[in-house]
Amino acid sequence: MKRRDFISKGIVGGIAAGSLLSIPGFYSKAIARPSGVQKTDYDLVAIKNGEPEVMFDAAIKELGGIGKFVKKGQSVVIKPNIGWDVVPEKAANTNPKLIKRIIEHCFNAGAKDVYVFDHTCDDWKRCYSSSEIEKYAKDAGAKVVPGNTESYYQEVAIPKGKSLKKDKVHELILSSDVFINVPVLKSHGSARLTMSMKNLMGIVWDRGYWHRNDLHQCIADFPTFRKPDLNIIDAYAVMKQNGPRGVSLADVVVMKSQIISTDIVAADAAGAKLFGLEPTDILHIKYASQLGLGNIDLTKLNIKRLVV
Amino acid sequence: MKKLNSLKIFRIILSVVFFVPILIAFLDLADLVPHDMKLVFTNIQFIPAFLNFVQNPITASVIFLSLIGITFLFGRIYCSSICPLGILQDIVYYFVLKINKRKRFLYEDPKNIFRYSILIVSVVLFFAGSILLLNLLDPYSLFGKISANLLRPVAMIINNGAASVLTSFDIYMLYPVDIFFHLPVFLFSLSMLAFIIWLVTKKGRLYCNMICPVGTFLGLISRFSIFKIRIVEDDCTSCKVCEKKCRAMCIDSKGQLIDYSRCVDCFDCISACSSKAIIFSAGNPFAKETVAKTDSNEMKSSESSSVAVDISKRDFVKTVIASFTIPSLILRAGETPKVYKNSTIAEDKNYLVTPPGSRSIEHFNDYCTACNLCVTACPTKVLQPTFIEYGIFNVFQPKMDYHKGFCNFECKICSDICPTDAIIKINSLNEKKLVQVGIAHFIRENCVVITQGTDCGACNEHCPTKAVKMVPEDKLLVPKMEEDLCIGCGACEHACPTKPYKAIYVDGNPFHKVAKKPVVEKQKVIDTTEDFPF
Repeated sequence: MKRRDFISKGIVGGIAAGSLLSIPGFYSKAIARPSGVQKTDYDLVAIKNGEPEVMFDAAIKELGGIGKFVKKGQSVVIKPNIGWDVVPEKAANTNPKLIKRIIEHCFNAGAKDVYVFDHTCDDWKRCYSSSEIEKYAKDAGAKVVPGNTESYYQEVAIPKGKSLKKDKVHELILSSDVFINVPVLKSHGSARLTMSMKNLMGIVWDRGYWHRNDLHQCIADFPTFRKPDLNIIDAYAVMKQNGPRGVSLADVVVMKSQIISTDIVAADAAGAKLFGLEPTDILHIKYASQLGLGNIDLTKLNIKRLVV
Repeated sequence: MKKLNSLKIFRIILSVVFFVPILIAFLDLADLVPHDMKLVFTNIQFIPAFLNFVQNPITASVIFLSLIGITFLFGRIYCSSICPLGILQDIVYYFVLKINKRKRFLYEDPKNIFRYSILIVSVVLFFAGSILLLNLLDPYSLFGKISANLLRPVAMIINNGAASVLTSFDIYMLYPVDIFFHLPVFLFSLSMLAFIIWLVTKKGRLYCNMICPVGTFLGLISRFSIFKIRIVEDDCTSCKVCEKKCRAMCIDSKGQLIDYSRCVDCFDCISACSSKAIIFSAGNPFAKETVAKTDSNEMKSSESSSVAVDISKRDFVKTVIASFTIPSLILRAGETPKVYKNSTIAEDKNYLVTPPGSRSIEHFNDYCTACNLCVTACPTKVLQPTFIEYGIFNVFQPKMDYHKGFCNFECKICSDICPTDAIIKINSLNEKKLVQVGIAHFIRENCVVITQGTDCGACNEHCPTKAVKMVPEDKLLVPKMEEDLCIGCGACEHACPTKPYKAIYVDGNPFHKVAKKPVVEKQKVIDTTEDFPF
């Protein structure tokens, strides 16, 4: 009851008040909560040649453990990519074992609740099931939440956006204390690549608006409203062509890699490099860096590189 | 008076056994019931069994012939205990009796001209190529329409209410579902339900004995049933109690006559008779019976002649009928444009898209009775009822509506579940993935990439076979169709964000084809111990 009430009364009231008082950014500031997340020594950890769980264990340790991000009693929302009704081997969705391990880390750090959801492209129940994320997440004790109905989405203002000025965002993103973004690295027919920023299309209701109104700009605009507290790019198996859905297993290359960063632009820049593309060639990464959302220049970052 | 006899108890148990699963099949919001289980209970319905029989007289004859055989043995057991619409009427009648304990019926003459006309027209139309009357009047399909369009939305509203209450307690066991209303079929179902309820309150099972073509047909057989309700003349006091209790209004107490063509085997009369003068017993089926005045012989001959309509005449009659049908032109009712760089060119759809497995629009139109079972089972809601888009002789038959959803690549539920084989079962998913139900067409002038000069590619993103390619043009990627690979699933059309007209749309294949299998270049294996590229 608490959470929903908080959203429906508190937050919606907040939106109303915010817009009535015409204070730009009032709401987004109240919600976007980088608080409590301390700067780590490393800006980014890149790891390769291990199983997803093993790589995550080692990588998060380098960042000081999940406890740096998740405090006792907090609620956590994890947003994997569960966009497609395909089996894990096809690598169109985030690796389910990685999701499970992240959830376990959160609970070990004392998280009260861990939620997992995505606003899928294919039928959500089939995606949740075929991707095996539902099974693994539930095994780890997370609550697997639907993202299929507009009633879960609350309208928010995005004052700093250039093309995207408002959107409807899943209530769990608004109500949870910690937001962990776990995309899978894939080729993408429209965005060129899909990684951390592109994955956020799965927390809003109307993706068509983004597609109509300069896709790359909208992808870059959204994090001005809410940046995930942690981005974990799953590059264990990478769909090199025919993304984001893929046609067959032949599209997939086993890269056994993972990138973790609090800097969403840096994470995506590193992902692009890993894929074999220049970050500046991916317009939404460039736009996001221009908006000051993070660092596109990897040479300026303190990067920890690990080979298991 | 209230005592139950064992036959009546048996009838009620049988009704529950057949009714509950079929109701659940239509109300299964979470798709929990295995499809084979649903099929068991829908396939034994008379019209689905008949349609299966007509399509495969050799392999699919068992159920159909069994239903006929049961009727010949025991009378209209189908109407009393298998037909969901019949049982629904019994449920209504139960409440009528609760409200009005003094509810009485009296014998009425059969509405022969009316009922046999409907039967003959149904049969003639069917063999002429239009399933219209079976679609509208078949009791199973009508029950399906009522369940899918009236009862299911009620279940959905309850589900959504419960889901939102549970969600507020942070429990995500139930989830909200989208409720689609299709007004024409909703109104039809509502008015038919209201009409049937009214009939039950006034005249008992009159729908079954005046309108229902299945009831009328089985009535032709049940006259000659071996086991029948019989009045023991010596014990009968002509007290009229049985007559007043007869929901089929087929007992003439005074003349000690029973119209067996209308008796629906409810066995109420046996309980009602205090003199025990009514029994259910075997006899010589062709002996001269106490049949109430009907013009059975005359009708029987005209019936058999109509069944024997030469199939080759079918095309001729069909052409005649087709010339009266309204062509499928109601496709283009677009939404009103909004403030946005609107797309300008209307989609040019010539054919509706029928579900994979239906083989052709013609086959689908010929055998679909619009029971709506596939509509309720479709996980993406792409299957939606129509009104007269297929023509007035094919009302309510579903189509693939790509504005509501798109055909899930990994799914063939509709072909698994169709009880009439209007959608023929596809053996494997791999086979289904190549069934081309239509072909997508790209309208460059409507495309965001062209009109806005920004990347979009939603169509390519959703395309499961990559029939939609993205081709570099300046610094942008523009969609390009490779039609051979397209299966017409409509994912591209559904995802395309342009308004009011889509920049990519599927035009149906009147005859389904086989698409080319996508060939994918195998990616090279890489060394994962190499250094990072940054």
